[in-house]
Amino acid sequence: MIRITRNDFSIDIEIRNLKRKSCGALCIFVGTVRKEQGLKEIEIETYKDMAERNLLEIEKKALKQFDIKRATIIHRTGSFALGDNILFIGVSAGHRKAAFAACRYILEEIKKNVPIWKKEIFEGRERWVM
Amino acid sequence: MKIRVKYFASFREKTGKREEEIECVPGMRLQSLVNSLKEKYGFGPRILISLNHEFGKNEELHDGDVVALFPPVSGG
Repeated sequence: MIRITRNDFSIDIEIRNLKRKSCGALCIFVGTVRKEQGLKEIEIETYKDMAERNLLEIEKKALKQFDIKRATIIHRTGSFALGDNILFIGVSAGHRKAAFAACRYILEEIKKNVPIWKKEIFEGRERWVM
Repeated sequence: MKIRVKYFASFREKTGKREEEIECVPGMRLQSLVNSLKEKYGFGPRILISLNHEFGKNEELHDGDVVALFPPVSGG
């Protein structure tokens, strides 16, 4: 399941949706806004049509390449304060090795291939993260 | 033929527009359109290109195609 949304996600609900009786491992990654000197907020912009297609493709490849049962990818868009959730990746699998590997694979693919951009807003200046 | 061109992130700010429609000659290729836009708006060398929602290289363009230009991604 993939989703690009302005809304926050519930980690509890997402974990519940990922769990299966045949799964002994559930690996999640949550990306949040990190504190940096003078940072007020960040903005996240997406090319939604393309980003959704690319996330679906990443999910499909993860399900094919790794021995996992389910994957959930949620990326938020909009304006965010320090500590806000911006990304959820969750993977359920029979065993931990595949769950960890798939979770990392999904994260690295998002960072390389999904049209999403972050802009950091400081007091009196701003910059796009490259 | 008409091609819709979208801009995102710093490219949207540089052009001052989210998208525009560009009249192209039949048979024009993607890279040729991108080069003319680079020249017009002064985009730097770090540029990603998509054609109809997939990363593009130098495909031939067709009427109604959607091209997008944007900087390297930074999600996650």
